[in-house]
Amino acid sequence: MKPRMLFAEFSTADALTDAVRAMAKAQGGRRFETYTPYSIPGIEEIAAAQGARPSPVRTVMVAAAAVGAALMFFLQYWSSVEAYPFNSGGRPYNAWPTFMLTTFEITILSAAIGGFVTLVVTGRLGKLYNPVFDWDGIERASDDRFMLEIELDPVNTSDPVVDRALSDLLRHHGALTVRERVA
Amino acid sequence: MSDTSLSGRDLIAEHGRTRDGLMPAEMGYRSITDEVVGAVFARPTRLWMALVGVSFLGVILLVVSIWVLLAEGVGIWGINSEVVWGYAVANYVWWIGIGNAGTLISSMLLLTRQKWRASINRYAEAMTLFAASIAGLFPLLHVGRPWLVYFMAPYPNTMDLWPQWRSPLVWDMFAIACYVLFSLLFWYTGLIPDLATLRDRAKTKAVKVAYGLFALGWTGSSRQWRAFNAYYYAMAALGVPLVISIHSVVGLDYAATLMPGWQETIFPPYFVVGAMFSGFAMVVTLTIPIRWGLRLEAIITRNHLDAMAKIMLFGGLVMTFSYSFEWFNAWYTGSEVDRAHVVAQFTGQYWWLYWLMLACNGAVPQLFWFRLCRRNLVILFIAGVLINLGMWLERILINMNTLSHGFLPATDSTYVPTFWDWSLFLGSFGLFCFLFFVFAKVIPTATIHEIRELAHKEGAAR
Repeated sequence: MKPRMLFAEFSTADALTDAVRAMAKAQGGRRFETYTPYSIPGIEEIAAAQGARPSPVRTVMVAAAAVGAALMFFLQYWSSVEAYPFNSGGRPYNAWPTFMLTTFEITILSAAIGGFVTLVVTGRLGKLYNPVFDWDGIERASDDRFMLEIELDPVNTSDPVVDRALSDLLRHHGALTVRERVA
Repeated sequence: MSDTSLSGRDLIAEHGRTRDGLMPAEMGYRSITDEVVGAVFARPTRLWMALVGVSFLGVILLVVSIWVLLAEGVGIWGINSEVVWGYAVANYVWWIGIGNAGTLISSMLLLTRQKWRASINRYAEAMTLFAASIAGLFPLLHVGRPWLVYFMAPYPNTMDLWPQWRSPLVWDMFAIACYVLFSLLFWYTGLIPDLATLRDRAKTKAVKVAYGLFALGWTGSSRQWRAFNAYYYAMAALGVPLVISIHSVVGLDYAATLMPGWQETIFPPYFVVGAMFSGFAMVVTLTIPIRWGLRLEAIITRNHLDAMAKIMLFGGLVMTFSYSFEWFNAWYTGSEVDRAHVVAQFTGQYWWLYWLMLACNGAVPQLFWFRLCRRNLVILFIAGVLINLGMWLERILINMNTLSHGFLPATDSTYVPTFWDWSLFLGSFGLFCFLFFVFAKVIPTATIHEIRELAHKEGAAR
């Protein structure tokens, strides 16, 4: 049985944050997602309190930086000590201080690329169609409206009273419209 | 919603400005979007078409100059057996300096939570991207045989050769390549949410698909914003040390030699500050026509320009200090050739260029002690152009003064730029302007999502 989705539209960021907070208090643990024109710290806090994990982007960036740095240093060490030792005025083959310059640039670039790939993967970017685009008016989520999508229980298991209470709560907190559909 | 039809100017007239003067006191999200997106979707004006046309002539000049260079060799330039680094290297340093500033401006202002950043960071970053790419062109052409430039890349080859990692030329190649890729990622990431806005605002299917492809299916979900913020702030934090390292490497190209006037420990930081200085001057020079041409006066205000003028003043002071440190250093080392170098700077064959440079980089920024000058558009624009000229002269003189006065008086020589030196420089300028005008019409010139956030914080929108 497919779950049903509830979709509420707000005209201000503050109303959206209040509504999400009230919902988390009244019916905690519901799966929800917001769609907003800019990032709203209040939503982040509520999601974190509900157990949303922080983005893995920075962890990956650190790992990518370490791998990039090691590879770049190894490449320079190996090519100037093993593959092509070139005696330039008696300077050491393993001139590690000068190797640091390119190692540093590659470290930063590796972190940047690793982070971007993680952003694309975890943010599910690159998928040009998303079911949320089927809601009427969703295009204003990138302009001046603040959307909230909540997962309701499937029809046969849900309690109409609870559902009704939820939409009333959203309207009470300033939702302009509240709509429902089967996902 | 009621203010849908009002422009930023009308809003200021009606409600006044927020307390720090950065935007109208009442400005709904829709008005912000209209203000920025309107400039993209409006029909191109005749002025814009004319500017694109003129700058395209520059692009043609660039292509012809490169064509002739590849056919004839670097002998068509004014370089000779002594002055081996001429306009190509100077232009490279100048362009990469301008290119460094955009990322530096954008990152530093983001990390220090400067509220006024949102309006200028987008085109400062675009400026970076274009300038850094153009800068990368010059070393390629300067090596004389650009088709063999892949020799510098580390790859297993049949000759069993590997790059000389102790050479500044190799550091340079890595620095520029990493920097261009990094700047592209930083700029594009910040652009994704705004591309989604354009996608959702597009009126025709073709435009929607075009922006939609680049928006990567952005929905603005809290999940995406979380990843976006984590990445974007981390990139800003990485951008500052990267930029400093890039221009330090450029400074090391000089400082790692034994030539008088080049072998100085101050070069890397002095190059970095010079980059910031010329970059802010370039941003100001670009901002004034942009805010006028695209009617963004409500979003890019005089307070923004005022803040940038203060940074230019600071840059000018540091540059003046750096020049005087060079003179002091020459005297203090007691090296005869270094002292002769300083005397030649002031009284040698290029004396008038040196004095002009000191006037542009040292004296002109002193205007910005005065509030009147920081807020007067004409003065700001002229000062921005003069500072750019001064910084270009500095890059030219670093090459010409040192190389034409080496250790042996018998090898003293003169560098006289040829037609092709000038045409390549003007052509690169044409390409920069062309890319910039096209960018300003296709992509939002201000970061819409950050301005919305700012409007919420400032109480202009709820």
